[in-house]
This record gives sequence, structure tokens and C-alpha cells, in this order.
Amino acid sequence: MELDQFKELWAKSTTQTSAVNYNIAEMIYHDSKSPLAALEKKFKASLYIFPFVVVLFAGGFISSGVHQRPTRYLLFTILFIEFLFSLFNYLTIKKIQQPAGSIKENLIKRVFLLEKRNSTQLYVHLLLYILMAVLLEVCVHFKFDADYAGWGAINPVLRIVVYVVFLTAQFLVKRRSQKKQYGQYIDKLNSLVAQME
Amino acid sequence: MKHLDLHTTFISLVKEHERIIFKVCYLYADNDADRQDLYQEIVIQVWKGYQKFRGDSKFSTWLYQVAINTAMTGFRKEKRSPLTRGPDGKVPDVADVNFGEQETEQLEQLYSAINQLNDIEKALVMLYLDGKSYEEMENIMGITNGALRVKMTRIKEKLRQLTKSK
Repeated sequence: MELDQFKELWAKSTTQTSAVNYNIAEMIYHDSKSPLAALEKKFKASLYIFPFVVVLFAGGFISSGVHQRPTRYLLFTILFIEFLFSLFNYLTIKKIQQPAGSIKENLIKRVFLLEKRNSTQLYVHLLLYILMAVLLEVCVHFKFDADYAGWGAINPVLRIVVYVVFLTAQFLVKRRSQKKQYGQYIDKLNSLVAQME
Repeated sequence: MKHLDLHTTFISLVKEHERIIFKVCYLYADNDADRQDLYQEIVIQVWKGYQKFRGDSKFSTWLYQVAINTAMTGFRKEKRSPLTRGPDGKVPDVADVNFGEQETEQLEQLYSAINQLNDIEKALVMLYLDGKSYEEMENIMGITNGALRVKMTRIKEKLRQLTKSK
């Protein structure tokens, strides 16, 4: 079979298939079912949660004044960083879906942004947990909160071991879950780029 | 441009170039149900992008890019959409089109051979059969002219072997 011989037949066949009528006007108002569109929705939804957190924190601030428990400030900081991260995720996924020139450029952009998102997620969460551990230690040291007295009574070396084990475990679990969630997809995109070389 | 004008222009442009979407659906989805879903997914992505389309390239070039890109990267077989169900929304099979027996057989042989190619090769064959020049193929795919020529020679040989072994 010579490919060139099929040009005419191909043109004839693909012209005739266009006789089908789809309701395009209605279709465009429906949501995309792609996996990235589902992720975009998820991150968008998480953005709406933060204003409620602000309202709750402001409520606590009005009732207790500036002398709130340090845990509240800590919790607020963590949620704020999570909010910023959700915003970053949302904008990244939106950017990934926007066409960027040729097919190859698109594929390379997708791989780059997805990998950047994944590594940012890993390190942002690691940083958050380190921040939590540091603040917990500050609270214990300066006896800011009576609730931490029990934790403060434990040998400091053992406490550090617990922090290290926890940080390592969460890092590994998160990395594994990323690999499970996006690994195959990124591998597929990389193999497409390789096919173009 | 007013939203209504944009909407009307978009629909007529898609209708005019609909065969590009059909061909992509045909090559990248295995059955009618998936083809219909892929069709809808492509139309949604084209609409999303169209609002920012500045006309730097021809609409058809851009449509090829979005359609192939959606088929290769964004499409997942999931729940069917009610919009594309039913007999009216059916993409006809090659055999449904009124060709002679020999032509139908040849087309089926061609499609069956193309189906054995990888995703990038499928796109290249489609563009080649659509009569695109190497420059246009380069713009759509992002593969250099030289590499495209080498690839096309290999693909032609591969298709020759695939059809010979039948």
C-alpha cells in the first residue's frame, strides 16, 4: 500500500462524515470531563473555603482580642499557606489547559508545569510541617500554652526523632501518592515528546 | 466583538472545519461512544481557546493543534454525556459511507494500518493525507521540517509493511 494513493479516497471519506449534526451551541456550555478540568474544579472549590477561615479567625479575634492562643495563629498561618498553594495549583492547572502553539510546545509545557507543581507541593508541605514543629517547640519552650505541657515533658531527643520520622514519612507518602496520581500521565506525555524526537 | 457575534462566528467556523474534528475522533477513539465524547471534549477546548485566539495562524491550523492536543493529552474514557447519546449524534463508520466494495475494503485496510501506529505517527499521517505541506505540519506539530521528512519516510515504509503482512 502506498500512502499517496489514498489521498483522494481519504478526502472523500472524511468529507462525507461531516454530514452528522451536533448541537455545538449547547455543547460549549458544558464542563470539560478531562482529568485536568476535574483538578481545576477541585482547587477552585478549595479557594472558597479560605474566606470562611478568615471570618472564623476574625470572630475569635473580636471575642478574645490579640491574646489568643498561639495555636490559633499557627493554624491561621498554615491555612493561609494552604490557600496560597491552592491558588497556585488552580492557576497552574488553568495555564496547562491553555493551548500554547504547536503540539510539541504544548506537551513540553504540560510536563514542565505538572512536574513543577508536584515538586512545589512536596516542598511547601514539608516546609509547613517543619514550621509546625518549630512553632510547637517555641510554645513548649516559652510555655505559651498549658496544653503542650505533656509534649514538653518528653525527652527533647525523642521529640526530635518523632519530628524527623513524621517529616520523612509524610514526604515519602506524598511523593508516592503523586507518582500514583500523575506519574502515568507525565510518563505518557514524556513518551509522546520522545516520539517526536 | 460582542459575545453573541463571537458565538455565532465560532459555530459557523467549527461547522466549516468540522471534518478535522471528525478525523481526529476517528483516529484517536476506538468506538462510536468514545468518538462522540471526544468530539464534545474537543469542541469545549476549542471554544475555551477561541475566546483568546488572536488569529496569528489560520483557524484550521489552530484547530488541528487543539484537536490533536485534546485527543492525545486530555481525553479520558469516563461517563458518557447525555448530549451526545442517541441515533442523531452518531459518527458514521467508514462502512456507513457509500463507497464501492473495493474502496471500502481499501479504506478499512488503511484505517486498520493507521491504528497500529503511535499517537504522533497517526497525527502525521492524518496531516499528510489532508494534503498539508511540511511547513504547515511543522507549525502544527512543532517537529522540524527535516525530522518530519525522515519520519514520513519511515511511516510510509511501516504502513507498507503493515498492509503487506495482511
